[in-house]
Amino acid sequence: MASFFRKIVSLIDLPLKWESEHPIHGNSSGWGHTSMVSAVISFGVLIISFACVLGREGLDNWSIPLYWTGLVLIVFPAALRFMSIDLSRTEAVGIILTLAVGSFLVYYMRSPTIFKSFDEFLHWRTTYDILKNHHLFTPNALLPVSPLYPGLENVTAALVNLTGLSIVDAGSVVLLVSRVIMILGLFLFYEFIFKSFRAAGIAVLVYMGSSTFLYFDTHFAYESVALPLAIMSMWMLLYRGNENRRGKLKWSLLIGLTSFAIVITHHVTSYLLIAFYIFWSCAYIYSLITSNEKTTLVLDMAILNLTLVVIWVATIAKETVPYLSDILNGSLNSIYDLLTGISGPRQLFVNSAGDAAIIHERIFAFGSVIILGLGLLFGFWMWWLKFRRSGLQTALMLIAIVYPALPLMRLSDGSWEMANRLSGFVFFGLAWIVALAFVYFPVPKKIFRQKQWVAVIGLTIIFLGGVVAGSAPLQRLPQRYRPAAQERSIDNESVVAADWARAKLGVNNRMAADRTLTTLFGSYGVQRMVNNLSDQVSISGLFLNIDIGPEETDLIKTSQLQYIVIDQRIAQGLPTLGFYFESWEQLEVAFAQPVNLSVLEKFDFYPSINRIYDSGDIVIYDLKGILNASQTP
Amino acid sequence: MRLKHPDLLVILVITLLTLTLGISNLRAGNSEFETLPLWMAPLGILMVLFIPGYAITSAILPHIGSERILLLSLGLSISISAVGGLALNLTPWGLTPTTCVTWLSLITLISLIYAWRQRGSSTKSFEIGVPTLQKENIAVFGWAASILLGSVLITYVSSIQAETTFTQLWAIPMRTADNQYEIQIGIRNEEKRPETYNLYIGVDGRRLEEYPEIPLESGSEWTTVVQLDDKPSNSIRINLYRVNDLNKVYRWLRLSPEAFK
Repeated sequence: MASFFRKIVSLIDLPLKWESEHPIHGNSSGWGHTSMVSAVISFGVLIISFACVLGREGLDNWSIPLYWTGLVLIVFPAALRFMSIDLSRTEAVGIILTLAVGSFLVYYMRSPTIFKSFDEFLHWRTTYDILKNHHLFTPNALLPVSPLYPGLENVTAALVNLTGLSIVDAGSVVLLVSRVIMILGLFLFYEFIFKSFRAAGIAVLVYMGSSTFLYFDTHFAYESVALPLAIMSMWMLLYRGNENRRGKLKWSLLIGLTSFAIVITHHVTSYLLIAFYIFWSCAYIYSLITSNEKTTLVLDMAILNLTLVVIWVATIAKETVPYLSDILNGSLNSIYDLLTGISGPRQLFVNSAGDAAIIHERIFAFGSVIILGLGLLFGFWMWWLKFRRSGLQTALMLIAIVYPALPLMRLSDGSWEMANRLSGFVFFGLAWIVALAFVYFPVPKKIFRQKQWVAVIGLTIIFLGGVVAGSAPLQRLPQRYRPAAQERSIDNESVVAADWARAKLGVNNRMAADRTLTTLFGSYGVQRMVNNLSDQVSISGLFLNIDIGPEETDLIKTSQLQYIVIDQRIAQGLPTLGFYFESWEQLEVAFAQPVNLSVLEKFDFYPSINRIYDSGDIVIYDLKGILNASQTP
Repeated sequence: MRLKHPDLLVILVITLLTLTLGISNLRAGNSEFETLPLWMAPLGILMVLFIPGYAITSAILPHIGSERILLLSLGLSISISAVGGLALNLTPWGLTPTTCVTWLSLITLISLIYAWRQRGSSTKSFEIGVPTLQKENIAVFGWAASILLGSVLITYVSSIQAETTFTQLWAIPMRTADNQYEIQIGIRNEEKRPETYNLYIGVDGRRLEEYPEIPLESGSEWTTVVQLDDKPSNSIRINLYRVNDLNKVYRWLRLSPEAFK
């Protein structure tokens, strides 16, 4: 045992001469410890797979500690090696690729057979429509802007067409490849700036602490593909800067192709990419004035991207403007209400059903914020000393200084989601500046070894803190069925019911259901779910009012509702999001008790409503009796 | 004889193979998605997510390093598929298996011709640019890969085993073209064990039809069509029992007369 620990400690050969180490294109001295690190990371993945198995059996006391142990085993050995002097470039690349696969599998193993998170259903439906109709832009009632950005779906549909895989399997392969592009792109980008593969590896590890990294940017949604492509295009721009005129033209062609793919894949990513290019260009012009440094001008790409975005929004994706402005307005109003005291701060670490995060999760979250805050502070100092006249580094710093706003935005109900989603972009700059602090922070030689260990532990905490900030405990591991708890409320009884509706009732019937079943029936069931976003009607009252009166029958008639689907299990628990059907419910009623079962069963007693499907918990009612009655003279 | 550009040759072979197999398989009548044989999967994955990008990178940037070519191959392939979907949408056929494989093959073959010409004028031969792996490293890598594969299998199997058990009962009221009233009734056993059911159909307490024993294996389905003499005057009640517990209604449905309009 002692020799084992000696071997582990010997991996850190100190003192480390950070700035004089291997140059960027220097000799790579073999694979080093890549195989050993890969083995430890895969062991971490194996432990998480056991955590998933135990989670499905409801053994949370075992599954949760195993999950966190697995995560530590994935990130700790990588951090350890990036802090060791005998790291070779090949080893660094090998570790980076292993981290990409390992981090993807953590997400994938939650639900390997079906997509389960809310956004995934929406994009599944768009992909299905492309495969079925062979053409793009079929309206999607669940998310009207989704068909207008079909990049992810085009790739997945091509893969389904050429492989015969299901949409879920093909989508998972696309997501794995996107994860590799993201991590490798980040590594090469940071390596170019730092001129050090070690510092690049450290920056990638810091980026992995972004709250969107492990879950949000791995799920089947447009950002998961657009963001990796954006990162790759930024690296290509750097590379282009070193080329002669002919070489620049070649790179520009490839960057142009990638930019077009980003524009048709995800709205926000393409807008933020333009913003970054503009920052970069401004900082470049500033650096030209203040120094003679030769950097690369990216204004041409900013103009190209802006032109593509304007054409796309003006011709195809007009609906994006009201869609995004609604979200932005909601977030800004919420921040205003918080600042002016109209509303109180959101309770951190507790969901609407009262589930609280356990203590070590709070320690990781706060620890991560403190380390990143200190890193930002020291990194800012380093930037001022070494890079304040450099265009790109200044642009990255400008992004990084947005970070302190993110934890504050989490205090507001309406803006926490925006803070979470911005994290993936802000960390692009933050990772560089915090890595700068890790690499260049001066310490006396005699405590250099301690600095290395502090850095390894710090990087691990940053990663774990990102996991806590980016995912609710209910989302991390598969757990037993729980009512009104988003993806935990999806089991094969509900999936089979959605499949049944598609097979026996046909597609695109107008239906209504709770939030979970709306996404499930609107996607796998291929039904036209009536909702506020697409129909401007509120369906909550139909389900939650104690009887069916003229108001309810009018709603059925005006919205041409043919079927309603009820999962009676929602009467067994409080909703984790604070509502069962539509988000406004939480503003009207704070559910202290679950919805009463008799309220859901009222449809059994209405004469012209037919109960046509029963699988024990899920019941489907046919409302055509009411619709037909209205047509009878 | 040592091949000068083995990578381009491999790409060419895979592209032609995918194009031929893809089109011949689709010509055999498998025009719908999710109907291709599983052995097409590795070829299809390479063809969509790696090969077009590799061919373009080889054509435009012939001397770029190993991990850089990996990044560009993956990223550009995704970009080509994303943008290609848009281009194919403008054609009358749209995004079908045939048009997808043709588009990707066309891009790859044009790029390959250009890459061959580029490399032909170069004296450099193909180098992968990755250090050789030692035997012990290969063993540990193999072990790591096996663990990863095992982890995925464990979660895959456990996710299937953890599925909930239930029985589906449904009834769809129909009015046929010749004004006949009928009900399509179905039962599906998802109890993960064989089950025998009893099905009762009645109006106003009067029995219309009864199926005393319907044995169903796990995962199997039973359907029937019940013809009605006339439009029912009152609601039809359909009760499903398990034969080992006939006192308790297991599933039930109700159809009103308006349902047949």
